[in-house]
Amino acid sequence: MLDGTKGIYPAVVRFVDVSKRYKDSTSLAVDNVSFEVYPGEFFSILGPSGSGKTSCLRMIAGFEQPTSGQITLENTNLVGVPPHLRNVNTVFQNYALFPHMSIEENVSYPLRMARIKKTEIQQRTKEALLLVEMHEFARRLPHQLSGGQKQRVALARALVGKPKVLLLDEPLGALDLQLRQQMQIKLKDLQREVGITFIYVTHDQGEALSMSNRLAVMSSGRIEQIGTPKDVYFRPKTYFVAGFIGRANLEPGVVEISQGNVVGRWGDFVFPVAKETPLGPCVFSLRHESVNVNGGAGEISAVGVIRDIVFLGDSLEVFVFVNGLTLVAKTQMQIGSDLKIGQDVIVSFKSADVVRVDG
Amino acid sequence: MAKSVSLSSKRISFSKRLSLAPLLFWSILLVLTPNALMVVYSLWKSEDGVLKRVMSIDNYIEAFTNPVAISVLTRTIIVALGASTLATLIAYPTAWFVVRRLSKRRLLAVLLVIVPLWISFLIRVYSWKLVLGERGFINSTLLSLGLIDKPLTFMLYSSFAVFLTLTYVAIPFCFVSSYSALERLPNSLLEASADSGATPFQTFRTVIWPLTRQGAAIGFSLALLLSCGDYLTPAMVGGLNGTMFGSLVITQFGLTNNWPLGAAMSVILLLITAMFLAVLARITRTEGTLD
Amino acid sequence: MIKDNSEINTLTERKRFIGAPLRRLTGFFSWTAFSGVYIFLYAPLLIIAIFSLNDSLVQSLPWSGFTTKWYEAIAEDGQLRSSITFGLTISLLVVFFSSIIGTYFAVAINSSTGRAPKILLATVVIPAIVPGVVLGLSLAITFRMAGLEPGLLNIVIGHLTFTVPVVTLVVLNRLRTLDPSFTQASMDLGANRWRTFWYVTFPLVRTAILAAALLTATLSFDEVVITFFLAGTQQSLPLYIWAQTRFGFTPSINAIVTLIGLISVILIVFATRSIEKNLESNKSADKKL
Repeated sequence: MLDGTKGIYPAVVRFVDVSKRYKDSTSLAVDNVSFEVYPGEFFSILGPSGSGKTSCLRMIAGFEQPTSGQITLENTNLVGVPPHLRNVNTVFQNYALFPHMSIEENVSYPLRMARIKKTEIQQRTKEALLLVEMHEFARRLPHQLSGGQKQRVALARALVGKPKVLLLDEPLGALDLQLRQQMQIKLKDLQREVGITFIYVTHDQGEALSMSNRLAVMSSGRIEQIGTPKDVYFRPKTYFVAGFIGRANLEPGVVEISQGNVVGRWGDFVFPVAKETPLGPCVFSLRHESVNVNGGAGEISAVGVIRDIVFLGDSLEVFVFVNGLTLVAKTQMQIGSDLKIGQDVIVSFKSADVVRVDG
Repeated sequence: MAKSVSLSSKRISFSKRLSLAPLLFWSILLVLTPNALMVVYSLWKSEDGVLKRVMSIDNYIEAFTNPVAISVLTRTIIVALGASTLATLIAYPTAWFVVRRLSKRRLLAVLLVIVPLWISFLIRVYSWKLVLGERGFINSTLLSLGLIDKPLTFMLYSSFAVFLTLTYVAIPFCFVSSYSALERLPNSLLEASADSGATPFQTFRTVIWPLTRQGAAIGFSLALLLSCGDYLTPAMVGGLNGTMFGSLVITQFGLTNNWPLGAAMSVILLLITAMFLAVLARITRTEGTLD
Repeated sequence: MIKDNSEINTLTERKRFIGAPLRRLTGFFSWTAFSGVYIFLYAPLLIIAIFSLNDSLVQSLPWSGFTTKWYEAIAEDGQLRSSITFGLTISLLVVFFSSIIGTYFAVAINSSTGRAPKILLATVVIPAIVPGVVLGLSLAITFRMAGLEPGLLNIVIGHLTFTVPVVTLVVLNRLRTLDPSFTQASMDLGANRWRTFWYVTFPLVRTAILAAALLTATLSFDEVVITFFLAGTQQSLPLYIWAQTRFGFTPSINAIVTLIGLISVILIVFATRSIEKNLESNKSADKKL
């Protein structure tokens, strides 16, 4: 498989060397991107705005055509096929519910376009509405619904036609925090229940990490890394991924040979690294929560001085100058509540938690 | 979708748009052809009501040298310019007043200006006959009040009447376009100007006018366009002394049956109006726009 | 009223002091001028209405007595009736065709990119901005060379040349403010372009088309100059009125004119009310800013 993971079933969506350049633009919005999505998985594309993630989605939906490369849906080439003939449906960011149609008419729309028998349309529409718990609102009009309700209707409408793939374009962006978190859980459950492949585009890493089976991190039109949420979080492959996902300490260091072993030198810290690690200057990434102060596991330790403390509500960020580096440690309130600026502390971490990325 | 389409065999070229061909067809047939034919006609001649298909620019020479034509043309331009200017001078401050001083009744005030636009143009011109005539409203009122002995005759069937009527007709147009420009002016700009120490007049000169003059200009151009080519107004209230260029064209169409000459005059009229519009577009260009 | 100046030493104080009465004066003056404009706009029309009820063959004061006989005379005027029917026929045909053609043009332009749609739009709009006599004459010439006799067909075509641009512009304007995600969603869910237009786009621009149709109806019914160039023996209503005023003066013209004015006003009020109702639900179809 393209990203190194093992897949049992053949891919349902495949991008092969896809690039996209928009008219009147000098740069590539999507730069030679390749990946596979497997049937039944919740796949996210994560990246900041301008990373190309939305362009990829729109190319699957059919609203844009790739400048070069191939996009296939279950081994059929999609290039040149208009949107209404593709068996994929989209949940739009602003829901795009037809304002002049009732909820029921909105949800039954794809079935009506496919010219299915009336009784079957009624049946399937009802099922879809029940699935998203919007059955009572069948007769209402979109402008009478709240944001969260509209979103559920948009989901029902996109699912009722039983597409091969469901595309979601930052659907939770317009909702407030509480609602967003609830919807994340609901979406995940829904996907498991329905079994349809979801391709989810977002800039919110919390969403991507909590909902996906696998995700692709994009930046400036390129894929930085594809993997499971844990892979991407604990073993970032590039500087961008290390900095974009979670909060990490990213400082330059060097990998060299010392007394026959491959070690990493980071400030005045020296610690063992895997034998295969490439030698030379690099950047080391260490998550804030992997750095401990005054206790906690970690065989690498040193004494440092607290430079700053930031209160985050459920935790503290402690900025410590230690061994020539300024490291940030994230600690719980119980441990850190009596720390003061200027105080000496013992900083410790596990060498296994340090990840080498290209600088 | 329940359809399983064999996508590889149906390579559809997805033309994203509806065909523009009907527009092209329409443009050629109904816009370009009539104008082209009119130009061709203007180069032909009519002798004793019979069309002679020989190319010559005699008609144009006639139009430019005939003293009647020249005086009518000059009069038309002066009256049209005057009426448009007066209409703008009346409409712009009125629009300003509505925007600044009225909050509750604003919609009503605007509607009241627009409603006359919907009432037939013919009717609005006709109404001035009743007002300005020898036995019209003004005269009979003045007579019965004893302010004059004989009815004033200069009012109707003169260029004055045409001027006044055209102004009257043009005011709603100028108002609408001035209003929409003035309405979009954010209050905060005026406050910022006053805050910086500008007097109301300075604020007008440096802030309000530059940002809204295009609205005034559009209204002015519309009025000018209407006035230059109008035939109805001079026909109803102009009389002999108030003929305008449009009347001359009609005369060639009807009375003298000299279509080629009429065509030449039309072309001249067209060119004049185009010129006015171009000049106006130039003068009122403002850097930067109001969002 | 002005105090001894030596007591007032700051500029602002002086201004404020003189300001108040002056401001009140200018305020009064501007309100008068403002209302004056409105009086100027409506007075002539009211005068017609008044005279239509005046029992006198001449339009002058003094008032000869209240009468409705001019209105009654309308019902008996056969020529008037046929001109009204003719005018209505023209208007209906023009509204019907221009709505269809104009809407098509607007949709086609909106879904196209590049310079071609801009140029074509500009060309189509030309007849709406040229002087009436120019348009009338050019069309008359064209029809004569094409061998078409003056009459209904010519008039309808002539009106279409300047009403289609109006419909196109109004509908195009509405299309441009529509959120594009609706058409995308529709195609995404399986509708091709035609069905997308019919089920999704058209309902959302319906009010614009209606407004344009209304505008077209009045433009066409009221049209004089171009109709004059293209008409045969049968006259439309404005042509009839115009002919009457040239040759003589029957006060029944005042009556007709007042009636037309009243009907127009009622129609507008009625139309704007129903359009406003439609507008509310369609607001949610606007592009999110």
